Amino acid sequence: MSKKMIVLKSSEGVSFVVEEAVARQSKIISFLVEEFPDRELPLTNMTSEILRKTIEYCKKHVVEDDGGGDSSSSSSGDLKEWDVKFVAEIDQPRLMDLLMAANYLDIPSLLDVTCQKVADTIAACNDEKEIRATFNIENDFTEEEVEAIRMENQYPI
Amino acid sequence: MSDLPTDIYFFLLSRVPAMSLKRLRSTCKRWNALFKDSRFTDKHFLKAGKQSLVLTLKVSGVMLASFSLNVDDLSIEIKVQLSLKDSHSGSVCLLDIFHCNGLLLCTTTRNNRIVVCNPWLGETRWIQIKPDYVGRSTFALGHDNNNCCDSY
Repeated sequence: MSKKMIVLKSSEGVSFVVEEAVARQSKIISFLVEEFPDRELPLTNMTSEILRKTIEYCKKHVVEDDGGGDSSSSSSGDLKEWDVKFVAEIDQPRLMDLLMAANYLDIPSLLDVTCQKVADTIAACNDEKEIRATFNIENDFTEEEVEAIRMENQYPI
Repeated sequence: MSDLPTDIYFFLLSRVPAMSLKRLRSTCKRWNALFKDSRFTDKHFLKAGKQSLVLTLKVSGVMLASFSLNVDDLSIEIKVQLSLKDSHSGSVCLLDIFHCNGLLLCTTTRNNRIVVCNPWLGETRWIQIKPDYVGRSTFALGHDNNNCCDSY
Protein backbone atom coordinates (compact mmCIF):
# COMPACT_ATOMS: atom_id res chain seq x y z
CA MET A 1 0.00 0.00 0.00
CA SER A 2 1.49 3.31 -1.00
CA LYS A 3 1.82 5.90 1.71
CA LYS A 4 0.22 9.29 1.24
CA MET A 5 2.78 11.99 0.62
CA ILE A 6 2.55 15.74 1.09
CA VAL A 7 4.79 18.59 -0.07
CA LEU A 8 6.30 21.19 2.28
CA LYS A 9 8.02 24.25 0.83
CA SER A 10 10.80 26.14 2.62
CA SER A 11 11.38 29.91 2.64
CA GLU A 12 13.85 29.49 -0.25
CA GLY A 13 11.15 27.74 -2.29
CA VAL A 14 12.69 24.26 -1.98
CA SER A 15 10.07 21.50 -1.93
CA PHE A 16 10.29 18.52 0.44
CA VAL A 17 8.13 15.48 -0.23
CA VAL A 18 7.24 13.89 3.12
CA GLU A 19 5.01 11.03 4.24
CA GLU A 20 1.85 12.50 5.69
CA ALA A 21 2.21 10.47 8.91
CA VAL A 22 5.66 11.97 9.43
CA ALA A 23 4.51 15.55 8.85
CA ARG A 24 1.39 15.14 11.01
CA GLN A 25 3.53 15.16 14.15
CA SER A 26 3.24 18.89 13.70
CA LYS A 27 -0.19 19.88 14.96
CA ILE A 28 -0.18 22.84 12.58
CA ILE A 29 0.62 20.73 9.52
CA SER A 30 -1.94 18.17 10.64
CA PHE A 31 -4.57 20.92 10.69
CA LEU A 32 -3.45 22.35 7.34
CA VAL A 33 -3.49 18.91 5.66
CA GLU A 34 -7.11 18.47 6.67
CA GLU A 35 -8.12 21.97 5.63
CA PHE A 36 -6.14 22.02 2.36
CA PRO A 37 -5.70 18.44 1.14
CA ASP A 38 -3.52 17.91 -1.94
CA ARG A 39 -1.98 21.35 -1.67
CA GLU A 40 1.70 22.20 -1.30
CA LEU A 41 2.19 23.80 2.14
CA PRO A 42 4.46 26.88 2.16
CA LEU A 43 6.47 27.36 5.38
CA THR A 44 7.73 30.84 4.62
CA ASN A 45 9.59 31.38 7.90
CA MET A 46 11.58 28.15 7.79
CA THR A 47 14.83 27.77 5.89
CA SER A 48 15.51 24.57 3.96
CA GLU A 49 18.20 23.62 6.46
CA ILE A 50 15.89 23.89 9.47
CA LEU A 51 12.99 22.23 7.64
CA ARG A 52 15.31 19.36 6.71
CA LYS A 53 16.34 18.90 10.36
CA THR A 54 12.72 19.08 11.51
CA ILE A 55 11.71 16.41 9.00
CA GLU A 56 14.68 14.26 10.09
CA TYR A 57 13.42 14.45 13.69
CA CYS A 58 9.83 13.68 12.71
CA LYS A 59 10.89 10.70 10.57
CA LYS A 60 12.71 9.21 13.54
CA HIS A 61 9.76 9.76 15.86
CA VAL A 62 6.91 8.68 13.62
CA VAL A 63 4.77 5.88 15.01
CA GLU A 64 4.32 3.37 12.22
CA ASP A 65 1.14 1.46 11.75
CA ASP A 66 2.20 -1.69 9.93
CA GLY A 67 -1.19 -3.37 10.10
CA GLY A 68 -0.27 -5.44 13.13
CA GLY A 69 -0.98 -2.66 15.60
CA ASP A 70 0.98 0.42 16.54
CA SER A 71 4.68 0.06 17.00
CA SER A 72 7.22 2.75 17.52
CA SER A 73 10.05 2.77 14.98
CA SER A 74 12.56 2.61 17.87
CA SER A 75 12.49 1.74 21.54
CA SER A 76 12.07 4.63 23.93
CA GLY A 77 15.62 4.31 25.33
CA ASP A 78 17.11 4.31 21.83
CA LEU A 79 14.99 7.32 20.91
CA LYS A 80 16.20 9.31 23.90
CA GLU A 81 19.79 8.50 23.02
CA TRP A 82 19.13 9.49 19.43
CA ASP A 83 17.55 12.80 20.56
CA VAL A 84 20.58 13.68 22.69
CA LYS A 85 22.91 13.02 19.75
CA PHE A 86 20.59 14.87 17.37
CA VAL A 87 20.65 18.14 19.34
CA ALA A 88 24.33 17.78 20.29
CA GLU A 89 25.31 17.92 16.62
CA ILE A 90 23.54 21.22 15.99
CA ASP A 91 25.33 24.50 16.64
CA GLN A 92 23.81 27.11 18.95
CA PRO A 93 22.22 29.52 16.41
CA ARG A 94 20.65 26.66 14.47
CA LEU A 95 19.43 25.05 17.68
CA MET A 96 17.54 28.27 18.47
CA ASP A 97 16.08 28.24 14.92
CA LEU A 98 15.01 24.63 15.41
CA LEU A 99 13.44 25.51 18.76
CA MET A 100 11.47 28.31 17.08
CA ALA A 101 10.43 25.92 14.29
CA ALA A 102 9.20 23.38 16.88
CA ASN A 103 7.21 26.15 18.52
CA TYR A 104 5.80 27.46 15.22
CA LEU A 105 4.85 24.01 13.90
CA ASP A 106 3.64 22.88 17.33
CA ILE A 107 5.76 19.73 17.75
CA PRO A 108 5.82 19.38 21.58
CA SER A 109 8.48 16.64 21.81
CA LEU A 110 10.92 18.56 19.57
CA LEU A 111 10.29 21.74 21.58
CA ASP A 112 10.98 19.77 24.73
CA VAL A 113 14.27 18.33 23.55
CA THR A 114 15.58 21.62 22.10
CA CYS A 115 14.60 23.61 25.22
CA GLN A 116 16.32 21.06 27.46
CA LYS A 117 19.51 21.30 25.39
CA VAL A 118 19.49 25.13 25.62
CA ALA A 119 18.81 24.97 29.39
CA ASP A 120 21.72 22.51 29.81
CA THR A 121 23.98 24.85 27.83
CA ILE A 122 22.99 27.79 30.06
CA ALA A 123 23.63 25.72 33.19
CA ALA A 124 27.09 24.78 31.87
CA CYS A 125 28.13 28.44 31.48
CA ASN A 126 30.39 29.68 34.27
CA ASP A 127 29.01 33.18 34.54
CA GLU A 128 26.69 35.73 32.95
CA LYS A 129 29.41 36.90 30.53
CA GLU A 130 29.69 33.41 29.07
CA ILE A 131 25.88 33.18 28.80
CA ARG A 132 25.76 36.51 26.94
CA ALA A 133 28.56 35.48 24.58
CA THR A 134 27.04 32.05 23.88
CA PHE A 135 23.54 33.34 23.15
CA ASN A 136 24.48 36.72 21.70
CA ILE A 137 22.62 38.64 24.41
CA GLU A 138 23.29 42.34 24.91
CA ASN A 139 24.19 43.51 28.41
CA ASP A 140 21.52 46.18 28.88
CA PHE A 141 22.24 46.93 32.55
CA THR A 142 23.64 50.27 33.64
CA GLU A 143 26.46 50.23 36.19
CA GLU A 144 23.98 51.37 38.87
CA GLU A 145 21.68 48.45 38.09
CA VAL A 146 24.55 45.97 38.25
CA GLU A 147 25.45 47.42 41.64
CA ALA A 148 21.81 47.13 42.81
CA ILE A 149 21.72 43.41 41.91
CA ARG A 150 25.10 42.94 43.56
CA MET A 151 23.78 44.56 46.74
CA GLU A 152 20.71 42.31 46.72
CA ASN A 153 23.10 39.36 46.49
CA GLN A 154 25.48 40.59 49.13
CA TYR A 155 25.33 37.30 51.00
CA PRO A 156 27.06 35.37 48.30
CA ILE A 157 26.72 31.75 47.45
CA MET B 1 17.54 34.62 21.82
CA SER B 2 16.12 37.99 22.82
CA ASP B 3 13.29 37.76 20.27
CA LEU B 4 11.77 34.59 21.76
CA PRO B 5 8.11 34.82 22.81
CA THR B 6 7.57 35.08 26.57
CA ASP B 7 5.94 31.66 26.94
CA ILE B 8 8.92 30.00 25.26
CA TYR B 9 11.23 31.92 27.60
CA PHE B 10 9.33 30.52 30.56
CA PHE B 11 9.35 27.04 29.09
CA LEU B 12 13.08 27.19 28.41
CA LEU B 13 14.50 28.95 31.47
CA SER B 14 12.31 27.03 33.91
CA ARG B 15 14.46 24.00 33.06
CA VAL B 16 17.68 25.61 34.24
CA PRO B 17 18.60 23.97 37.57
CA ALA B 18 18.29 26.08 40.72
CA MET B 19 22.05 26.06 41.24
CA SER B 20 22.58 28.03 38.04
CA LEU B 21 19.81 30.57 38.58
CA LYS B 22 21.86 33.32 40.14
CA ARG B 23 23.84 34.00 36.99
CA LEU B 24 20.62 34.33 34.98
CA ARG B 25 19.62 37.39 36.98
CA SER B 26 22.66 39.37 35.96
CA THR B 27 22.57 38.34 32.28
CA CYS B 28 20.09 40.97 31.08
CA LYS B 29 17.07 42.96 32.26
CA ARG B 30 14.52 40.64 30.74
CA TRP B 31 15.96 37.61 32.52
CA ASN B 32 16.28 39.49 35.80
CA ALA B 33 12.60 40.49 35.58
CA LEU B 34 11.61 36.81 35.42
CA PHE B 35 12.41 36.37 39.09
CA LYS B 36 9.80 38.94 40.03
CA ASP B 37 7.14 37.08 38.02
CA SER B 38 5.38 34.39 40.03
CA ARG B 39 4.25 32.65 36.83
CA PHE B 40 7.92 31.97 36.09
CA THR B 41 8.93 31.02 39.64
CA ASP B 42 5.94 28.67 39.94
CA LYS B 43 6.84 27.02 36.64
CA HIS B 44 10.47 26.72 37.61
CA PHE B 45 9.56 25.08 40.88
CA LEU B 46 7.58 22.41 39.03
CA LYS B 47 9.84 21.89 36.01
CA ALA B 48 13.47 22.20 37.00
CA GLY B 49 15.40 19.09 37.95
CA LYS B 50 15.61 18.46 41.68
CA GLN B 51 18.74 17.44 43.52
CA SER B 52 19.24 16.24 47.08
CA LEU B 53 21.84 18.12 49.07
CA VAL B 54 23.31 17.68 52.52
CA LEU B 55 22.93 20.69 54.77
CA THR B 56 25.62 21.32 57.37
CA LEU B 57 25.41 24.00 60.02
CA LYS B 58 28.66 25.60 61.06
CA VAL B 59 29.07 28.38 63.59
CA SER B 60 30.11 30.75 60.85
CA GLY B 61 27.56 29.72 58.26
CA VAL B 62 25.88 27.00 56.25
CA MET B 63 27.29 24.52 53.77
CA LEU B 64 25.24 22.75 51.11
CA ALA B 65 26.98 19.81 49.47
CA SER B 66 26.14 17.02 47.07
CA PHE B 67 27.40 13.50 47.71
CA SER B 68 28.17 10.82 45.20
CA LEU B 69 27.97 7.43 46.90
CA ASN B 70 29.48 5.15 44.26
CA VAL B 71 31.58 2.40 45.86
CA ASP B 72 34.64 3.23 43.78
CA ASP B 73 34.23 6.93 43.80
CA LEU B 74 32.95 8.55 46.95
CA SER B 75 32.96 12.25 46.25
CA ILE B 76 31.67 15.34 47.95
CA GLU B 77 31.08 18.52 46.06
CA ILE B 78 30.37 21.68 47.99
CA LYS B 79 27.66 23.55 46.11
CA VAL B 80 27.06 26.49 48.38
CA GLN B 81 28.81 28.06 51.31
CA LEU B 82 26.73 30.72 52.91
CA SER B 83 27.99 33.01 55.61
CA LEU B 84 25.67 35.66 56.91
CA LYS B 85 26.54 39.21 57.70
CA ASP B 86 24.40 41.68 59.51
CA SER B 87 24.56 45.08 57.85
CA HIS B 88 24.99 46.73 61.28
CA SER B 89 27.35 44.53 63.16
CA GLY B 90 29.32 42.23 60.88
CA SER B 91 29.23 38.44 60.85
CA VAL B 92 26.46 36.54 62.58
CA CYS B 93 26.67 33.21 64.43
CA LEU B 94 23.96 30.72 63.55
CA LEU B 95 22.16 28.62 66.13
CA ASP B 96 19.82 26.45 64.16
CA ILE B 97 18.61 25.94 60.63
CA PHE B 98 15.41 24.72 58.99
CA HIS B 99 14.74 24.09 55.33
CA CYS B 100 11.75 23.78 53.02
CA ASN B 101 11.83 23.49 49.23
CA GLY B 102 15.34 24.96 49.08
CA LEU B 103 14.59 27.91 51.36
CA LEU B 104 16.51 28.17 54.64
CA LEU B 105 15.41 29.65 57.94
CA CYS B 106 18.28 30.40 60.32
CA THR B 107 18.07 31.40 63.94
CA THR B 108 21.00 33.43 65.18
CA THR B 109 22.74 34.26 68.41
CA ARG B 110 21.03 37.62 68.21
CA ASN B 111 17.86 36.67 70.01
CA ASN B 112 15.70 39.21 68.37
CA ARG B 113 16.46 38.41 64.73
CA ILE B 114 16.02 35.43 62.44
CA VAL B 115 16.74 35.26 58.73
CA VAL B 116 15.23 33.51 55.70
CA CYS B 117 17.65 32.79 52.83
CA ASN B 118 17.19 31.72 49.26
CA PRO B 119 20.76 30.50 48.63
CA TRP B 120 20.08 29.92 44.90
CA LEU B 121 19.31 33.56 44.23
CA GLY B 122 21.58 34.91 46.97
CA GLU B 123 18.67 36.64 48.67
CA THR B 124 18.14 37.07 52.38
CA ARG B 125 15.36 38.58 54.42
CA TRP B 126 15.81 39.41 58.08
CA ILE B 127 12.85 39.13 60.41
CA GLN B 128 12.67 41.14 63.58
CA ILE B 129 11.03 39.27 66.46
CA LYS B 130 8.76 41.20 68.77
CA PRO B 131 10.54 41.84 72.08
CA ASP B 132 7.73 40.06 73.97
CA TYR B 133 8.58 36.77 72.26
CA VAL B 134 12.36 36.85 72.70
CA GLY B 135 13.68 33.91 74.71
CA ARG B 136 10.50 31.84 74.62
CA SER B 137 9.97 31.26 70.91
CA THR B 138 10.23 28.21 68.68
CA PHE B 139 10.63 28.44 64.94
CA ALA B 140 9.71 26.34 61.91
CA LEU B 141 9.51 26.78 58.17
CA GLY B 142 6.64 25.36 56.14
CA HIS B 143 4.29 26.23 53.36
CA ASP B 144 0.63 26.43 52.55
CA ASN B 145 -0.26 23.31 50.56
CA ASN B 146 -2.87 25.14 48.56
CA ASN B 147 -0.45 27.75 47.37
CA CYS B 148 2.94 26.17 47.84
CA CYS B 149 4.96 28.60 45.75
CA ASP B 150 3.84 31.79 47.39
CA SER B 151 3.11 31.35 51.06
CA TYR B 152 5.81 30.19 53.43
